[in-house]
Amino acid sequence: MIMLKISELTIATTNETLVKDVTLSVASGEWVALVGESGSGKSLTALTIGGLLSGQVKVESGSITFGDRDLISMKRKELSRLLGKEISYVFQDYNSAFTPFLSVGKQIDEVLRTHTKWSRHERLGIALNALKDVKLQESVYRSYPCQLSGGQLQRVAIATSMMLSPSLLIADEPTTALDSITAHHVLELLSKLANEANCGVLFITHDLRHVKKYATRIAVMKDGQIVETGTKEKIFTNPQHPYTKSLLKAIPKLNDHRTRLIGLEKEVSW
Amino acid sequence: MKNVGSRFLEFVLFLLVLSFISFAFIKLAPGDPVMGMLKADEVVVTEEQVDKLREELGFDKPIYLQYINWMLAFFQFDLGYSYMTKQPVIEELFSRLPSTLTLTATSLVVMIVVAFPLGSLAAIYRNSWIDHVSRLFALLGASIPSFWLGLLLIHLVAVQLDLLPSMGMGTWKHLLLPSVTLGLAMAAVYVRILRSSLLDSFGQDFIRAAKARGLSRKRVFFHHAFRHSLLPVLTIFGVSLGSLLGGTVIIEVLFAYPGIGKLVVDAILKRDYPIIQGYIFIMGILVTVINLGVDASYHLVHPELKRGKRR
Repeated sequence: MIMLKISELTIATTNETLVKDVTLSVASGEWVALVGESGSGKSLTALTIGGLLSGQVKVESGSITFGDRDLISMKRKELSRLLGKEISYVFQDYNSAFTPFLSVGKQIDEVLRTHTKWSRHERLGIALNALKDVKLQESVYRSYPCQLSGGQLQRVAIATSMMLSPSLLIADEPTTALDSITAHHVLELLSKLANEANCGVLFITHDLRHVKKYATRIAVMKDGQIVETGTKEKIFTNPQHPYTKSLLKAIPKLNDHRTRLIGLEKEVSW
Repeated sequence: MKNVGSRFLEFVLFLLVLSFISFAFIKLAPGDPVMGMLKADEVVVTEEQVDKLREELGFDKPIYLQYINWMLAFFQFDLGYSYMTKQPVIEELFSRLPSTLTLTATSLVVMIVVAFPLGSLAAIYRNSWIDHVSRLFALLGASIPSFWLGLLLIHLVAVQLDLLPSMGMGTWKHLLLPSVTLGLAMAAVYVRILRSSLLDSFGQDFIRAAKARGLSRKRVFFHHAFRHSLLPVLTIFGVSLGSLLGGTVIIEVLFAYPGIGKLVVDAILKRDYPIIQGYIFIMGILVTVINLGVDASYHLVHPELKRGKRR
């Protein structure tokens, strides 16, 4: 079942078109990777879904439907009821994911308070369980964001996003700011929780190694437009667009290691 | 504990420097209190009378000895006696201090009631009419001297409309005009500080993240953005506290409000040194103590500051 459908979305400022005619869909349980270089419009597209564009940037045309509801014309209050409950975000910068002067627990609790009518005791139970699901200790609940490491914070962000079993998770480069081992753990957790909740994932990244491992479908974006879409197999085995081909070529391969080192040796004069 | 110790040491050093400078400046200022006390302008005084009084007051001793004697007395909570009223300085000052503190507190309430809503609305509805109103308000507040605003209010509210008393103290009505005069002058500054600080908060990524979690606009504003924007406001408040307490002097004179400011202006005119020195000293202590309070309030707004670093 299609959860999210973006049709011919164009986003622009007063004097520049930033995203043009983007069409994309995410079904339940599906992991759609939106890939492309920095500045290609991936994050803008993602922010538009939750009505999180700021300042001068506006949707010029197109539609975004979630289930059967149009998100672009939806009132702020109604959209807020969906965000954090049915549509969740995990952002790239873990440092800015949480308000610095509120404890992590308080911030998890205010999401639960906003979206549910559970008692304080029930909320605490759910929050601690969510932290346990991402392999964090209970003490994290009382910590302030500055006391946690990047990996821990990103796991808290995932726990907060997934604790109400959303239908759609928008992960905007969730691992870009993390080291590769932490990134691997974070993505494993994300994948596990998303599978359990049968949640559709819009995964924004420029790292094709992660795409290869987790995605079911891929959309390639360049200069504000989607240049190619298809299943993971199709894109990886038979890319059509020259940009997709160059992206695939850029993936570092393990067996290239020796060749590259030999090449390097030749270039450097000892 | 180390922090508390070093703060205390700083406090004592600050008071020593403050006392010495105030003592020296007053001694170097022109005018002679002895002549004032003997009413030399009105009656004929002999050289003997003058010398006798000088000796009584210790003015014949070198300045550093006068200072040391004054400090030694201070450590016994004795700031001397007023030359004019012959009352202990401590009693004189402390009888007036509560009125000034009440005026300062009510002025702060006026400032908060005006500046916080206006600054917030100006930031939320940026470039709208309310933002323009706040800009105009700030401009007027910066350009109109508070004594002129006070005179204007006295003329309009007290004389023309006869709604409130123009001078004295006793009831809440007496407090209204001086508090509004002082509060509005302060509010003009804080409206703009709060506005720009809030705009900075709105642009923070963690505010976007809070919105992405579906929190209500009210909650995002009060619990996240507003609280974040209070830090610069508190900092400037701590710095400007001295001028606020000093600012009450003019207002107290204008409204004939018997606070510590009015007392000290009278003392300056009559060269009543012990009162002036006592005032400077007590205000120094007050400003420092309140500043320590402002420092402590940082931790209330940003409790993470006192927590440990990243693991």
